[in-house]
Amino acid sequence: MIEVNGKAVDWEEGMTIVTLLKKMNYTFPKIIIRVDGKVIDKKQWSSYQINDQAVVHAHHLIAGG
Amino acid sequence: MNKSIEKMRASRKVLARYEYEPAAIDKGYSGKTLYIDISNQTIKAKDVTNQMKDIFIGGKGFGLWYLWNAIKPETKWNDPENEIVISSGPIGGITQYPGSGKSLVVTLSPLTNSLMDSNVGGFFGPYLKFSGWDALEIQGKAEKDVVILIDGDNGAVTIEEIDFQPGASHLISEQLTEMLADNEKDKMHVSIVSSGSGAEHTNVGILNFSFYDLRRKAARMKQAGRGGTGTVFRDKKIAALAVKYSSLTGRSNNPADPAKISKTGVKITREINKFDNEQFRMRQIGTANLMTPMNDYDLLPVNNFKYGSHIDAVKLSSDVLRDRFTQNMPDGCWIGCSLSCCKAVDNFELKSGPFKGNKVIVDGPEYENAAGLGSNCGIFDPDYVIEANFYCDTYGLDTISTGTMIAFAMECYENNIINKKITGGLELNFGNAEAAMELIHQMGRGDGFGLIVGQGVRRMKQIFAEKYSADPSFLQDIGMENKGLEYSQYQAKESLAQQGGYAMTNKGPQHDEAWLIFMDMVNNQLPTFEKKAEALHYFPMFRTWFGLQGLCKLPWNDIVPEGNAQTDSPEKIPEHVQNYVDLFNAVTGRNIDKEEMIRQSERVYNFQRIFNLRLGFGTREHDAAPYRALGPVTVEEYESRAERYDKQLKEDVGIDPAGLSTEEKIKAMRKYREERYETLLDVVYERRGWTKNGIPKPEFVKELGIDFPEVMEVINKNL
Amino acid sequence: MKIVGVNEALCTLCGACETTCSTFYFKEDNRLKSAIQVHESDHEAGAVIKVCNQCGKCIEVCPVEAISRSKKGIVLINKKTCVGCFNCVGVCPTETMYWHEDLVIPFKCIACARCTKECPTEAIFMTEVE
Repeated sequence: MIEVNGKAVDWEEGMTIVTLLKKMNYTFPKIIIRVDGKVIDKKQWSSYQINDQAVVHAHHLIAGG
Repeated sequence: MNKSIEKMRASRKVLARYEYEPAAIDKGYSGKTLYIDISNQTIKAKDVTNQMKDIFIGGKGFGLWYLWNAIKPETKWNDPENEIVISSGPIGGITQYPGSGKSLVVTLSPLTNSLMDSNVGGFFGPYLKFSGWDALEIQGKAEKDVVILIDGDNGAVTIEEIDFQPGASHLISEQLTEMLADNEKDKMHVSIVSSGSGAEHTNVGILNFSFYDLRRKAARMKQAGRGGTGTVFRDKKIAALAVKYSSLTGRSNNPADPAKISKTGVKITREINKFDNEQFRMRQIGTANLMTPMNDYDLLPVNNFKYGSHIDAVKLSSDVLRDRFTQNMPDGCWIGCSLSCCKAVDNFELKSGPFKGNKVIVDGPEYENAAGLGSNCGIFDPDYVIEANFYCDTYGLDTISTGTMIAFAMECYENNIINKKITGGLELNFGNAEAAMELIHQMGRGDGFGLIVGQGVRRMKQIFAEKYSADPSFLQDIGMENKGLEYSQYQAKESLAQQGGYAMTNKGPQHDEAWLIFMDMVNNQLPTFEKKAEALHYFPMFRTWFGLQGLCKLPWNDIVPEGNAQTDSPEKIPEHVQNYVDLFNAVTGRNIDKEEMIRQSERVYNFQRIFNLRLGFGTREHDAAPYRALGPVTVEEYESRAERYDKQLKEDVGIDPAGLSTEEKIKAMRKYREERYETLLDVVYERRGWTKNGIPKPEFVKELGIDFPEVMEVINKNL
Repeated sequence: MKIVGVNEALCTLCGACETTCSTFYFKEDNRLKSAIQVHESDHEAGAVIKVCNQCGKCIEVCPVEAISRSKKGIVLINKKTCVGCFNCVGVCPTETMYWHEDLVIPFKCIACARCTKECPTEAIFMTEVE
């Protein structure tokens, strides 16, 4: 189990940031990802492995029109 | 065309003329405002006082201040005493920083009977200032249609009668621009404010502010959309306003520190060039870039805000709309804007209405238009959305209100509250684009069922209850208006913060004060009431600031600088906030910081709240929201999100959904959500310095420095 | 058209081009007011010479159509029309649309060839391109 934006989400073996975003249907173009407090650069999203019990913040940068 | 322009020129009859020496602009201000009373052709100059600059800054601040002094508490929107005030702001008119050409229009609204403020792009505001006028104040009513012309090149203001084709704003803009320009390039020095026939037949009339597009060789238009400002305009029998100013430079504001402005402007323009394509694609798609994410996140208004997504929404996706817009055009609505987001569909052939067969330029669709006219009415046809956008603009109808009004009428039709007999044969089912288009034409012509719909959701509720024995409480639940103004096109239903963001506004549920849906629902950054209250203090105050300065909000957060993610509060975009502090100081020579920026807004915001109070509004009861904005009204709404709602009932409300009927679950959910909303009001009022009834506390008013005797009188009377 | 061509390997960073340009156009020996600017660089060549290659990307972003191509193909700013918005500065792919805080409008190389006559090593020269 991992936490995403304060809510419990099932963890899967080999979960990367890209696969997590797909799972959550987080398609927004500007999201800041923090895993256990550390900002993960977009370039690393397809390779960065998320561990079980990780605390993830997917901070959508949108304040509307 | 030329023949009719000659005819127009020949028909010009000057009713009054005022010659003046245009004031030199000093650090963002001309120091003068223009007052016109069209009942008796008075034209005079007023001084901008230091108090006005200190407390009210400009833009909306000036508008509210002038209106306060011009009317009485009993004044109605269609009394001659009501004013239309148009003002840009001290930063308005710089060319170096994106989004620097906005004006605010302030008046009493036919929808709310209270204060309305509406922001708008186009060239008029900056040209008005550089012509010597920090604001234009129009009072009275004319007997016959008049045009007010401000010639900033020669220092003359005239009130004239001019014979031109009325009713279609795009033609008025085009023809008056042609009449006033000496040649093609000169057209860029002209800006026209006009409305259309729809503003004469509905309560949702807009004001179109033109901006000349050199490459398209056309006068395009931006809109002061909310609240019926155009209805007031036409009721006063103003046919158009025109300004001409030919000497724009990068130093027209005579700023205190021009180098700082240039530096900051180049920095953000480089940022936009580097990042826009991978961020929000504003230069490619404008605000319509939101269509796809809103649908993906179940936040797109569908069928009168019942649902958040739809299987057909892909037909109105951001990329579909991108493909309709002409690319690689400098599409700024003020000269020099590098965010360039004012996209257009060129050579669009109209399929209906008085201009059927014409190939036109359509200004949009913006997100609000696609979501309001489209998905919220269950329509996913881009051709319909584009055509409806065009006709609303030229008829002078607010696309946001029109979308919500038609959606409401559709839901009433689907629930048999109104029928074909009442609608004059229009089958107003969700998704019926043909019927919706006909409604828009009816609003433009002033006939048929369009005359009912055009009065707005609040009046439709009254009419349907009175005349057609509709259940008033059901209408109240689904009628998406607050204070009389229709909701704009964002789903507040699952975001308590946004529910407050919409209904605790000064003017009504327009998202210019707060847009917290993602922060709240998706990012989960506002989990406590304290955090929600803080957000509902900071963001409305921060966002109000733009309307004092002549600025557009979009370059604040629709482009994000490098390193933003690493800041303490990335949602505030701290580097851009600092840009704005720097711009204000660089133009005016003052020395504000981020705290004073908020304080500037607090003064005007609270003044507006108290002004509402003076007019008989402005208290807690007026911040109530229709239940559709807070939660699921109908069985189908609950069941479309049953898993989510059942979970909430169990975990947050403490009620086991097992064995309960959907109706019972709706009732339990409703009690919980309505109570939560009341708690939200309490905490937000406290944070804003207001009483439990939503009235600014006297000590706070004093602290702000707006404790004028008339202001304190209003407060003391209502405490 | 004839534009300023560069051979960065030959540049000694003497700055004669900068002095020539800024002195001629702005009556000041100020490299920041030169439409050609040279920088030290980590690259093999050791120097970077930044001068407009007349690509014309700026022409399409100017909101007031103040930028156009002359009959000789050189990209020119109409000083009277320019409103100093710096959109061109922001979009220039080579960062050679220059601006200076003293000046209301930007400036760029107009291929007058004066700098090429002063370069001691022929690192810059006039060259014919399409």
